[in-house]
Amino acid sequence: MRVAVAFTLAVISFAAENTEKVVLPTSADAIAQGKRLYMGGCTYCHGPTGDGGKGANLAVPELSRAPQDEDLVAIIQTGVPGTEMPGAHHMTPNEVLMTAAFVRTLGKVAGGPVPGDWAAGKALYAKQGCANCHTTVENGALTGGLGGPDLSAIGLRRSPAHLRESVANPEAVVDAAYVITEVRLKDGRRVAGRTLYEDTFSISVRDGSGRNQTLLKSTVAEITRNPNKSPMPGYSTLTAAELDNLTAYLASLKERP
Amino acid sequence: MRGPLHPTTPAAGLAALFFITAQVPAQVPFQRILDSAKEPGNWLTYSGNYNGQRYSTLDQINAGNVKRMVVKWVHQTGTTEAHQTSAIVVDNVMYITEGPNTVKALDTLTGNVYWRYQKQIPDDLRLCCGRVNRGVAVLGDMVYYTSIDAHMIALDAKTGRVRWETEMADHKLGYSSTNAPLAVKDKVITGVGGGEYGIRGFIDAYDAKTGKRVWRFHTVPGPGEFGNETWAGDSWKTGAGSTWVTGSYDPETNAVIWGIGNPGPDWNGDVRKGDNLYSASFVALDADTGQRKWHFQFTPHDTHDWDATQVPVLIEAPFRGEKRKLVVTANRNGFYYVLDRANGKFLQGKPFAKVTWANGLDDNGRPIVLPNTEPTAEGNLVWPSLGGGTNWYSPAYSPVTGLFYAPVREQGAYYFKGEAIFKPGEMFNGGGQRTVPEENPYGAVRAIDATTGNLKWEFRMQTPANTSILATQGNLVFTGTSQGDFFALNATTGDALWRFKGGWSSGSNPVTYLSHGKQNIAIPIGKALFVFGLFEDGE
Repeated sequence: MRVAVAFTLAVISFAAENTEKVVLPTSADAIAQGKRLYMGGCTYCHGPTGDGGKGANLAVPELSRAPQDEDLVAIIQTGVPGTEMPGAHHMTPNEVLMTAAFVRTLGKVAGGPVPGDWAAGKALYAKQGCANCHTTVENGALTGGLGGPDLSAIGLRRSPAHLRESVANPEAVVDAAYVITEVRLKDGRRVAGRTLYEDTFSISVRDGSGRNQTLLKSTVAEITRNPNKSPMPGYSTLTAAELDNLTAYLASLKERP
Repeated sequence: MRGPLHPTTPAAGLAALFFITAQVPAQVPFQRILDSAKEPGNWLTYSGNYNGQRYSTLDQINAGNVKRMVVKWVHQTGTTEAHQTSAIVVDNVMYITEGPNTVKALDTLTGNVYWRYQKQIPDDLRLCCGRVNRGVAVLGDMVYYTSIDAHMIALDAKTGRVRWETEMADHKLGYSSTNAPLAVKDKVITGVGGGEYGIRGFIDAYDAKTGKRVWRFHTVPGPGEFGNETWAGDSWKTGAGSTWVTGSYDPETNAVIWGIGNPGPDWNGDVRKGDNLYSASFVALDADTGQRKWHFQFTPHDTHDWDATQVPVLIEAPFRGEKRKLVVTANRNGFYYVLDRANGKFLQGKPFAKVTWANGLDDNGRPIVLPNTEPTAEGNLVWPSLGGGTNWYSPAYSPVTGLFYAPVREQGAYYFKGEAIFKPGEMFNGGGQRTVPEENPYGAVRAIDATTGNLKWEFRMQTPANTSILATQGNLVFTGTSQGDFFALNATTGDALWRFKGGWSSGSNPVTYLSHGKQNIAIPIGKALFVFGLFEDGE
């Protein structure tokens, strides 16, 4: 108990002053032990791979509440007030470190240098009209269209390999939020677009003109969508070098507006 | 007799008036709860009545006029927790709880607060699922509340002052309490939470006047007791079997019937070989002694966290041509069951939701488990998910339609098995689940013929169910969604008749009662309690 209290104080001082760095263990043994602890205590909310269930998604490269390792250690140790995240008061300081080390592995994006020319990729992005549907941050401001996913920080969330494949073959993985929904109304009208929200009694669709339309299901005859079809055109005609360049540009987008 | 008028001083008149007012306490003797069907204007116990039906004979609000239903008042809680209370209403006073630690008495006409009690709670709670609470019990002139740190507390119904407080178990070992107690005769009966912490679950009865424990039924039998042999080695010691949803009471047999939670650890069954009684079971206990009368286990050796913590629904209905006293339930494991209420014998069962882990039930109601449906290190895809085909939120039963209204979840999950090493007060679950990214889970209200288990109608919901169902003689059923909808369906056909967007998940319990003679419906939505009634001109 005494050890735990001392450690808690140490963690609080880390978080508050950020003067002393936490060093997470890197050995395979420690991470394996961290995984065992995680599987025993964290999966109920965060899921075995960190991306499922009712807790926060941990399988992302940057945890919003825990950008620094000391934040992560503090959260595991003491929880997040006002949420359902409890503190692991029962863990020893070393167990907390090992658990944190394992949690960091959940969101690892394959590292290493990305081949390709960033600037050429940016030019290609403009030439191909990607900005018609996607947003990025230019000079501190969001620019681009709303039809497709926001790319302003896509380099933080997706690996270069995933980005490259998404450009060459958009239908490899289709984000459910961008699938085209077609709503046929009882009066014969049709509305197609991206579903913004759907509940038991209504559906809201953003149509091709960018207009939001909310339709009560009592007026709807049929809703259809093809989850495997992406509204994004494939860019399989790009050369391998062009794909590399575009990938390098996308991987560099890490700016949060 | 006509006599001379005696002039009284204004002070004496005022005193007399005050005295009369003070002499009208909300007295709820046991007999009143027993006869709750005779006074549908009050909602005297968790499910509205001892039989667990969450059904009311009120019909001022009915299928013909429900479209005129509007909000009467809203009580904002300010809590950051999920608001899961099931209100109790006695003579125009409503008693509610709010997570993490509050009990309130409200005026049913305005929602104004008569009194508020807040318990000091420790900050080292061990909880799987939030600092929630599902309501109080009333008996005599007291209100009974189980706190998140596993204390049973009796409050004065008029003032909210503590009359007694008893610790049920040590919260540092993972015990907690979230359920509304059940008042029976001169006792208050309750369960505990902690199924993810290797507790040894129990159902307790406390003397309503003194707070002294009268009996305890361990949901995991000890050495020498019947059922202990269903636990390998010492695994019974950490066998969980929590009891976190209020049970029902059968006055004819004096039996408290209560649902028991998952065995511990949840997903790694290797360390607890055997059927693991009385986890994932209903037990019927003598209300006076806590002695077991019968049990029925829905999921022997459960490895998917399928608690049987559903409200047992006691009905009397024709079963295969003969009028029978039955217990019916839609279990978290995806099957609907009909049991004989006298002895717990299995009579009938069939899936009410998608089930991929068992190929039906045998003659004794034991599931015919399919191979390769256990959690594994790599993950095994099974329907229903950890959330179950249904969960703690109550179903409803209407004796008029003969239908059982189940809040249904249609979702599968990959179940994982992990290491499970017990340390007191630590999570002890041995795995977890991951939902299926490509699946579009959905929910439904399913109206099931109560004795055959056959589907009569379904009302589909965009998201898996998370809200209790209320049925009324007005030919209505009420429920909500995780997207903040609260709505009314025609109880006979399932047609949607009325809806309201509350703006946040309901995930709680609708009740109905009369406020000064007018029917109201109350339900927590988000962090507030909403009360609805028919629109009236001039109000």
